[in-house]
Amino acid sequence: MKPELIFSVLLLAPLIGFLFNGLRWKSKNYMLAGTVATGAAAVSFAMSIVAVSRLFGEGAPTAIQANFYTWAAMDLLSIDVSFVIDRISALMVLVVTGVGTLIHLFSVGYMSHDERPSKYFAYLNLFLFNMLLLILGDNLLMMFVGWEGVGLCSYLLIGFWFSDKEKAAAGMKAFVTNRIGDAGFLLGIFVIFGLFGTLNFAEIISKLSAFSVETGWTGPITLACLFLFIGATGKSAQVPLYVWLPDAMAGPTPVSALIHAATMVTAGVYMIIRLSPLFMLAPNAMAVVATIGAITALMAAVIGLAQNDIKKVLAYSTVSQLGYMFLACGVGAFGAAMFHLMTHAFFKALMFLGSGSVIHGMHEEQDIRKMGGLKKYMPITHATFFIGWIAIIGIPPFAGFFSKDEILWYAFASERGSQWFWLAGLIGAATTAFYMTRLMALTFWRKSRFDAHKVHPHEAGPSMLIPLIVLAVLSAIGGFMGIPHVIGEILPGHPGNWLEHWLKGSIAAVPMTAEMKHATTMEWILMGISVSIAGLSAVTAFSFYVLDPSRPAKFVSLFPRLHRFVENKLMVDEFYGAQIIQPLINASRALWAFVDVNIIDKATFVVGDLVRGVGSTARTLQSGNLQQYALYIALGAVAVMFYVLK
Amino acid sequence: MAQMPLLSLIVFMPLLFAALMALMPGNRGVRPMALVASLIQFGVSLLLFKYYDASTPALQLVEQHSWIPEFGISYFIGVDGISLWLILLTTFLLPIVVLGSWNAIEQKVKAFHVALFALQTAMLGSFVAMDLVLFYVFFELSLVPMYFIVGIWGGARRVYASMKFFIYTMAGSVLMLLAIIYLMFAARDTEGLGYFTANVLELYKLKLPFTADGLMSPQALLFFAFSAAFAIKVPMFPVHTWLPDAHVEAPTPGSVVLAGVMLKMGTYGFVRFVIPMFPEAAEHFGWVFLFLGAVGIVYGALVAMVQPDIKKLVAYSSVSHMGYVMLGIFAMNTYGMTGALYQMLNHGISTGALFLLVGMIYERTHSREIEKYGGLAKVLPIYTIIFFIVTLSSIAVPMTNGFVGEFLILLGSFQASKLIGAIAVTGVIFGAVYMLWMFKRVFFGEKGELVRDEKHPLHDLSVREIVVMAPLLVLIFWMGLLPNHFLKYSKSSIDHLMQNKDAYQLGVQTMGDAVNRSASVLPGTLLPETQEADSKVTAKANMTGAGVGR
Repeated sequence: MKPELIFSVLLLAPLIGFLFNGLRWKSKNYMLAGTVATGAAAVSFAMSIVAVSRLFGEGAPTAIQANFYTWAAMDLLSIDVSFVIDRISALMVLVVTGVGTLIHLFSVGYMSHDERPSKYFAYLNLFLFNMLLLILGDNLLMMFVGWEGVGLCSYLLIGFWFSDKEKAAAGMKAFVTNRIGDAGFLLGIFVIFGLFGTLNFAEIISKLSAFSVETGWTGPITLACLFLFIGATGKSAQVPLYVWLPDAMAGPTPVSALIHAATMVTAGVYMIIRLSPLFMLAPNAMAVVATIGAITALMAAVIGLAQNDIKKVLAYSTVSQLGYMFLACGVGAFGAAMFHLMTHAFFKALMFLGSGSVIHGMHEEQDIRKMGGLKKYMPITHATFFIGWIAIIGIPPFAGFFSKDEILWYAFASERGSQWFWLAGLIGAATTAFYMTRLMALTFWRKSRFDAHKVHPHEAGPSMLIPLIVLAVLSAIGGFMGIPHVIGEILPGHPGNWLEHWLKGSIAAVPMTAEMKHATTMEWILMGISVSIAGLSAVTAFSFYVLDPSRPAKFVSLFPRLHRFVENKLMVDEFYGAQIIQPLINASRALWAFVDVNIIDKATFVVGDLVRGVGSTARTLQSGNLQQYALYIALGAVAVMFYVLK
Repeated sequence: MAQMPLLSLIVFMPLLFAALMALMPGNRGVRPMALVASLIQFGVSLLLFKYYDASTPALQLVEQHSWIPEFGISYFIGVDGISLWLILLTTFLLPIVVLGSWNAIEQKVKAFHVALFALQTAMLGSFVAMDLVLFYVFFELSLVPMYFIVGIWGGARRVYASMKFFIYTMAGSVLMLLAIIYLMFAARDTEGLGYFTANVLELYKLKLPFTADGLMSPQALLFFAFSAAFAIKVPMFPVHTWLPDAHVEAPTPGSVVLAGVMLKMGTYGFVRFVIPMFPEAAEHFGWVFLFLGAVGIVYGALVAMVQPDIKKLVAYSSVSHMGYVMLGIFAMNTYGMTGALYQMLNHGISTGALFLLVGMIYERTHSREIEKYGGLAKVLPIYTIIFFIVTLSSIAVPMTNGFVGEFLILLGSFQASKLIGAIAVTGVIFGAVYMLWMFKRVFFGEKGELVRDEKHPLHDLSVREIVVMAPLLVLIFWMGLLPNHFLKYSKSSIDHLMQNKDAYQLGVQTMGDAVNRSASVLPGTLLPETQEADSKVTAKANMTGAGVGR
């Protein structure tokens, strides 16, 4: 198959699915809609496998490319609609289409009772198309097209049940917050274009050799990286723009799994990994990335401690985990970021779908305080969620352990890392273990807290269970693609770090500090610390919520105000509302009432009145009154005489 | 065919139709006839693609006839890559406007269409005129039909609005008229060309004195005089306040034409006359317009955000969008200029579409108050989908036309000034805010009082209304996905303008045989590339000629 054909099928399958379902959007036939949409995603997945398999083997190309047409060309600017699958986008395209197909499949069951299943699947396919543009585009503009496209689909899907005012508002909040990031992304694009005269990734990177590492804050590369990072904070929900993601849970749950956990929100991380050689030249920008990542990882985890909506807990968890990925990017461990991106896609998609299964089984109940004991009613959901739980809290040998530990190790040992980054990550990991155990306990364990006569929790059908099982398997074994050397050495057969090897040469990496390069003991010690801290934290949560359920209330009553503050999400939304949004609206009203009406229009009228005034004054001169004329003549004569005789 | 005066035909055909319509007895049959006429007109304008040569920046399809030889004034028209798309936009919108106003105009139908078609001639004339006096005539003539359209078929405060519109624009035009007269005398000066002329190609050659420090040098004064006229027309902040009033009071077709085409006469004026004729002044004082453009983007968006009336919101969004165009023009580079030209078309399409859509809902409910709506999406799904697509175009989401223009303009302005570019980029955010907020309040949530009204259930779009919107939707995506299809026709003209902006000259390319009657009196400079570019037509004569008025 020619690359053009591969890319055409890969990209057009979801687009055709979108058109098919979009044109019959009123249809309630969820089976047909779901089959077509899932089929389209599966075709994309199959094509991705075909494409990626080309990269394997001796003498395989490092990338396959296809150029379709010229979008615009003028002066230095030349933008082609062209796509590339290289070693970075290969991983991403497999995750997106693979996890995407599973979530499409899950949706068939989940949306079977909805009024507008065709519309839903149309949007889902449109999202997949845009996501593919984002990851496969070989230049920043194509990436931006996909970038805004996925934002649009996110808007549509968050506000899918738009008759509810709050859901519609959540969609708008997501779009606008993302737009703030997008404005930054645009500025980043402009700086890069000014600097390199191209937007093509490969060309930008090939021109980097002429630049050296920048030290200050105002160098063009530093600025470009900071602007691009603003874009990333919007799309990937980092401080201070993360506020849209928890609200985005208003959308159907599979959407939260696909868009707001596994794929779209990782776009910011992916963009930085793609441009890792550029970020390498801007250490200050990288420090900002790492700091924001660490702050987000901690802050979101803390908020997650006190949420009672099952999806909100997972949403804050996602924000926190994305923070880890940025922390990894910031300390120069781009490979670890990619690794965590993938494992997170598995276990977080798993848990979101699991929560979907729970919500479905509980008849749209999302409050974990009203759940409990679901293990007995939904054994498969429980079992798969359990795997997701131990994967995210970092218990070896599940996926999250490998990727999170790699990030923590680099945060500590990299030349651009520090103990503080490591410590933040460690505390974040402990917090994660706590809130995830709490979630597990309140949802699945102990006694049921709902009225078993009214609510009959039940396991869902196979279309929902199969994706859960597949993702559970991936969450269990996904970590083996990146086994750290220290562990690989003691294992039979000495497996290497496949992922590191695969990405070598495609992404940049900051070296370890000299003393850490061979500090295997140190690596073991840190690994031990992080696993035991997370374990300890999980055990504490277990004792709180399972062994002695009265303890959380007692504990919280020690500092009620702090608890309320955390429960209210640190009042960030309120702060934004009072300090930014309302003043902006007031200022706009003032501009309208004051500048437009009072200044500009008044000024216009003044000019008008002046003209009329002059006219009416002039008119009095010609009154037809002879005596008046005589007076003018006399006055004139006096004036002339005065002038002459002076 | 080669000697057929195609441009004159395009320009004056609407006037002819207007005359025919005026002769018709009664009002019946006027609408179908107007529709057919407008379609013929659009069809004829498509012939431009057959004769237009995109490979050269030279003025094409020129026609020149002596008019007032004593002052070097002639009937001189032509088309190049700068005006081509504006002509097509004008002819493209006419059938849409006619069909779109099928029910909106209930009284004096005949008179309305006569005014509409006369307006069409005036607008097209201003886009093709290459003689300043001729341009001025068309430019001013366009005011009259629009004045009547707003003043007769407008809303409650129509008299106030139409007067404000007329006086505002006239105030600017007077300055331009003075400047034109001055320019003609400057041409006659021995330091100038030595003879009277209003021929724009000749005036491009005029070296007007300019001192960098002085506002009082002739070039600077002329620059500001022309700019005043065009800035009001655009309208650029802070001389924009006539626009919201005019739009709110104008009937739907009036708004569409006003936003779709008439505002472009201002921005076109900057590109065609101000920048090439006063290059040093434009370079020196360009930052003023760059700055005001950026302020206009943000200001228009913020004020649009708090409008309680949908139509006024769209009107203020026009101020914001036209701010982008000004920004692109005064970025003074290829990206900005290309983006500005593209944005002119985008604005014509998306804002025109928005006004049509607002008109459609107004016909149903007789209200434009946002607060009274809500939940429309449940009731009018097709209307909602179309409105949403147009919204996307308006907020410049990629894959729609709006994105191409905004991206190029912002890229260009950022290369020109980082600060201004950064200010303007915030418009990307505010644009999304005001449109989506309005969209949310009108279409989502619970049903508002107008939507609930059981006695008057709302009907979704009729076939006629869908037909009106369909071409606009097609263009939104076509222009968004394949911008190069459109840009390639303007490329050589824009490149030529930007590469020679210090000493801009424009040649003419004539078609037909060398002894062509009109060619023998054509002025203009010979361009190297035009000499070679004669593969398509059997013989193309490139003439260097003396001014007509010599």
